[in-house]
Amino acid sequence: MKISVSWLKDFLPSFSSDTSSLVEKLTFLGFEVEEVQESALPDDLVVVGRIEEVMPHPNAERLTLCKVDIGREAPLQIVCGAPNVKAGMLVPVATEKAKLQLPDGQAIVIKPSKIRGERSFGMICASDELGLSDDHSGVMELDQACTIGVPLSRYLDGDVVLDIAVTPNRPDVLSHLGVARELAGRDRIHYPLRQAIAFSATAPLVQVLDETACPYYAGVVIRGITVGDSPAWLRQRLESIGLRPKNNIVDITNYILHGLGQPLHAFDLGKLVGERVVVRSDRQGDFLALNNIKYGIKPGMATICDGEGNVAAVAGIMGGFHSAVSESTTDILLESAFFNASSVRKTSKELLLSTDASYRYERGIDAHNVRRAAECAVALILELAGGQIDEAQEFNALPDALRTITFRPARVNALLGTSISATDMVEMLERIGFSAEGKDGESIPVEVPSFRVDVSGEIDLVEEVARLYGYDNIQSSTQMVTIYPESRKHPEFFPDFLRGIMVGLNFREILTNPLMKREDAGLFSDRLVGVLNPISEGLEVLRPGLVPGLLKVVSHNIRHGNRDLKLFEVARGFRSISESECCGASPLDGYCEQEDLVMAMTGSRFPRAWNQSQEKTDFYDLMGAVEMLLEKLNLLDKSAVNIYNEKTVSIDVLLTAKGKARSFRVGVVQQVDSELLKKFDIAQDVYVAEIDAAVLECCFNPDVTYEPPSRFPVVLRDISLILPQSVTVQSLVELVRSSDSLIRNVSVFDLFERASENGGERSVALSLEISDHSGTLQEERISDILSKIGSDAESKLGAVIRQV
Amino acid sequence: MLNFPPDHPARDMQDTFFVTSGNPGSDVLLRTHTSPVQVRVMLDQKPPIRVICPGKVYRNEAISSRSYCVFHQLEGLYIDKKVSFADLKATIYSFAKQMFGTDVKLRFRPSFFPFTEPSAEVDVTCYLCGGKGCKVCKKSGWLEIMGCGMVHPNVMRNCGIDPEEWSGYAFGMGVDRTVLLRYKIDDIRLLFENDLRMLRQFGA
Ligand SMILES: [Zn+2]
Repeated sequence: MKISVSWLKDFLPSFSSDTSSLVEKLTFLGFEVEEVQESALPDDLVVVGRIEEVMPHPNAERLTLCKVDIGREAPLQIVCGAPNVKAGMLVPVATEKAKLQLPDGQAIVIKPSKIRGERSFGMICASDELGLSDDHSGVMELDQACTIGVPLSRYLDGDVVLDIAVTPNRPDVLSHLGVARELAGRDRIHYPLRQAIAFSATAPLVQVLDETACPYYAGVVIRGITVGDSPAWLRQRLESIGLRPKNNIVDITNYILHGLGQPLHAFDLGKLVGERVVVRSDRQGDFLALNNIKYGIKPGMATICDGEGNVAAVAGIMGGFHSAVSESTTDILLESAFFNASSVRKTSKELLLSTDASYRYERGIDAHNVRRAAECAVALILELAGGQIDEAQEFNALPDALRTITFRPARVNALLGTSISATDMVEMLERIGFSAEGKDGESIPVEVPSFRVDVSGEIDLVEEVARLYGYDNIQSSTQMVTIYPESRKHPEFFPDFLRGIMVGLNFREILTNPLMKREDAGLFSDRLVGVLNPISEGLEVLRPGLVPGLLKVVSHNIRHGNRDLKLFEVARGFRSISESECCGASPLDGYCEQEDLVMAMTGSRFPRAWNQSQEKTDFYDLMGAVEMLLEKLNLLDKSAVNIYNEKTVSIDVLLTAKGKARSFRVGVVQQVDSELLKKFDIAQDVYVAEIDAAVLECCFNPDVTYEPPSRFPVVLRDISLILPQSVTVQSLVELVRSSDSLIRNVSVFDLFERASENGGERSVALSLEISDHSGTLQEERISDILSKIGSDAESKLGAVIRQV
Repeated sequence: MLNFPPDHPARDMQDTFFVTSGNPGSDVLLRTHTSPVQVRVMLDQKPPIRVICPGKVYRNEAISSRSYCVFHQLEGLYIDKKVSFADLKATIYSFAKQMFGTDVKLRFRPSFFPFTEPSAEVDVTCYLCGGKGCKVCKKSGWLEIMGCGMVHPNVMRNCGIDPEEWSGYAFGMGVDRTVLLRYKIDDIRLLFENDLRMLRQFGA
């Protein structure tokens, strides 16, 4: 919201502050100043001149030759292109060496010149050329009272305009009056002149059918006005905050809105059938608003109608096109009303129409300001547009009494960590319009001013005291109360635990946008969760998993010359699922949200160096990394690898709880399909592992049950078997592991597949750790174990022992 | 729960992404704040409470060097007996000193959040101009790093915590923004580009 400092001084005539301390003051009161515009006064070489004579330019139809008196011995000849120059006019004249900043940003210095063959000794300026407004319709006409030859800046007030961010809880500050109240301190606020109005309560002028939407409505009929341009001071006020003046009546309503914070509306009385208004919420149909756009009015929206039910305004939002004040208007009905905040908000949202008026109504206006605003506006209308008050009527269902809130000074100090005296607290509150009955005591009742719609409880007063005392004056505690948790989970945050392991394995962590292109995501899943209001086309779905993002990063880096990559990410993917599918981790029906760890490896195995061979990373490098991860989690000896196809394996973890074995799918490791890589512009092999972090977390047991190392030697034996394709390696490992209690560990150290007559087979080589904690193992016992494994594997899995 | 009246304009402060719904008729959105996590903690646990909640949040804003549609928030909540605004200031100072160096300067400005009162925004001296004022800090010499405040009594009551017995503070900051400030990175998009030449510098 724009605030002009010189307008502010209308309310606080004695206010003075340099811009930077004003900005600081507002900031510490809680109003962020987003922009400061200091209107620079024109150069002192721009002086008041009087046009003595206007002659046509002999060589240019559109130009004129002006003789201008600027108080020197002889008048200057100036070539001018403005349409409105005439003899006798007082105008600003930029004389030789004057510096101007033109509206297009160009800085110029005036010097004598020849324009189309005629000499010109200066420039007659339009107001935009002096940075005073954006008006470029003609040269600026000055008041006849100005003295010729005097610098124009003497007649101008330099202004500072601040753009202030007002938080939604403080609608009372959405006006110059509101800002003035915050800055007033002990100074009294000066209000604009008011016209006393004798409001009747019964005349047929105003009828309110929906009292909830409109608890207060004042209507004033003024007849015999002359609609025209506003005087310069009013135009300047509006222009200073970026508003374009229209005509005196509309300008006055805007002046009051931004001055006092009360939205007003002026109807052309002649366009209201029956010359009266009815506030009702039962209308339906098209309504052409002031902005020349049609809106569909529905029952429930509060409207201002004429005597025949024609909608003339949407309450608190915008007036109608047909009843708007125009140049031919002579009689008006001025509205100053209190419309219900949530009613205005609802309608504004439904119509997708937000205005300066609705913005204020939605947040809450000052009930005690509504009539005052009408009186100020009427005084101005009578002064600037003439006319006479014909009738005035007020409908009032607003409660009169102010709210009272009790606060406990001790409570305030306890919450702030301060020791402010009760007297000081009361004085601070009184400075911004609150009034207290007493100044001390354990609890002090305080009357809340009508404009503070945000204050409803003691805590609001705590904040007011803190704000006025100054947040920066509250001293930080030197000693803090601290608590210690009774117990802590370990690891406290599993994804971070995983990240630590991965960084330790020399992978780099990446962070990708969960929003992505539908086309890319569609390569991985057909159960996409789409965004209904995407920012752009490239970001219209949530990622189904992390692999697409990972491949994009791989592609980006290869493109930028980094071909050797070891990357990982821990994050969530999102898929939509049908009701029958259940996804334990998802907080919402219909969605599956899965936390994954993905890794990618590509490029060379080792950095290029004299002592390293240039080998490419392969599938087993990534497998190795996954195994190291599993080892760090104490899960490696419980995991099994299953071959899907030549490019993909899956990893399962087998856990035994309460005598029952259960297998969990932890993830897959694969070489990415080259067709898929092409879609990501990648021309080198990429290996990717996708691990379900939630499953890992649930398998991981940080508790270690200590087992003393055996004093007796551990025997290592390798065994190699041929498995039919239909049998998983995992089931073999499981079988071997459970075949004898002396088997401490089983690992797969070699694996390959080959085709055979009966549909393919796998050759699996296992390494066994066998040890007996109670004594040295005899060779006999070992061969018993191995032969049992052989016969079990044969009978249960159809395996054939190749070599022991 | 968070003390938003249902039609309060503060709800407009959030630029929300909505997603295709699993159940037709129900609005599902990508969270714009991590504050709901704190509410869950307050509902589930009895005070004293001391938690920190990091997480991704989404804002439907145009992507630029200063803003990205997804970023990370870190929120903290502390509820105990006799916790005051002065304690909040001490905590924030202690964080800022570790993050930005012991001679860091902060300022606390009154602000508004529906779930805290009094509420504050915290600024740190602009890293580019050192406080003299430049384009990045909009000539103010300060850059905002977080929002914080005393937990609103209504929020506590909604969670079954007696605000007369307990008090507390909450704070929230953008992790990404803080990283930009800390390392003088001028474009937030770089954080999501994952260029190895950048990752290497952070040992990530
Ligand atoms: Zn700066």
